[in-house]
Amino acid sequence: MKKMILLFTMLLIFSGLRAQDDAIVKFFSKYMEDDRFSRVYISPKMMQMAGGFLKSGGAETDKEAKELGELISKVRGIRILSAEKLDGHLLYKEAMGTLTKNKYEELMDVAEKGSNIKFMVREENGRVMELLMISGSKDGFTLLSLLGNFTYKDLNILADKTTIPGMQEYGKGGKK
Amino acid sequence: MRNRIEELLKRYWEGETSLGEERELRDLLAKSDGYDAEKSFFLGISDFSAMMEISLENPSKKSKGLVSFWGRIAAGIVVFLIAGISIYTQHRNRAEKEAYEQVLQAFVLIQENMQKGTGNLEVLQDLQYLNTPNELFDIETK
Repeated sequence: MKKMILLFTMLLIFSGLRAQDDAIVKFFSKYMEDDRFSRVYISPKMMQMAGGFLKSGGAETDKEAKELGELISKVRGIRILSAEKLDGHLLYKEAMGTLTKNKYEELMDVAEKGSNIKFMVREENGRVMELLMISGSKDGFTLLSLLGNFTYKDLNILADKTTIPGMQEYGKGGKK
Repeated sequence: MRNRIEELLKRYWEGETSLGEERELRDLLAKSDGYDAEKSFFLGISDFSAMMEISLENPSKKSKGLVSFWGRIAAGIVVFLIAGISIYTQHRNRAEKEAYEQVLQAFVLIQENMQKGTGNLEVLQDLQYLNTPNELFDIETK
């Protein structure tokens, strides 16, 4: 009996963990065949290739390029689902409804001029495993999922020229 | 026949015979009696000629043909390999560039949207200057 309970608990934990990924995957797959949407999937292999292009000197090899190369090497994949000329608010709400049950933490929420942008992160052991961006406006929608293994300092490279007070502390190692 | 042999021999030693006359002389010697020294001489020459044909022409022709055959195959393989590597490298470079551009596009999309939020917070950055007089004059605020 004890074994059964243990097995059932493990199954629940496992299915819970799977649900985090599945929610976003389900959302992507729901609109995968919809012609109004454009889909981009950048696989780990393509990330490797992009890193290879930087290393081979295809791009500038200054400090910024080096940082970018390091960031690229930490990205496991990128999925983008976007649509134009449709009500993005509805899709934004649908996407948020799918995700609220899961373990995504809000990083940034911007609401302006009839558009909403939300950045969320999924953390594991203090590392950011996924950065999720959802934006919806009256005439467009974008869902972007950046998978990998990052620190907040890595994400700061993406938000270059950022002036968030306290962001400098990340650079000094105040927070990983 | 003897007169003809004598005449041809005389012309031969003087180096005036044609190839046809030399052939005629060999035939006449073969048919006639005597002339043992001349017979062995001309027989020796014909044997030697036959040997020369075998030893000089055939092996060189054979080996040359063999080398050029394998050489052509090797050259073909080398050209094929170089062309293959070159096409593969070109294809890989193009694919890497495309992948890099796609990744950059994704990053730009994130950056643009992030800056929509952080841009609004620039005003907050100015708030840090409110504390500047305290820092300048080392005033304890507690």
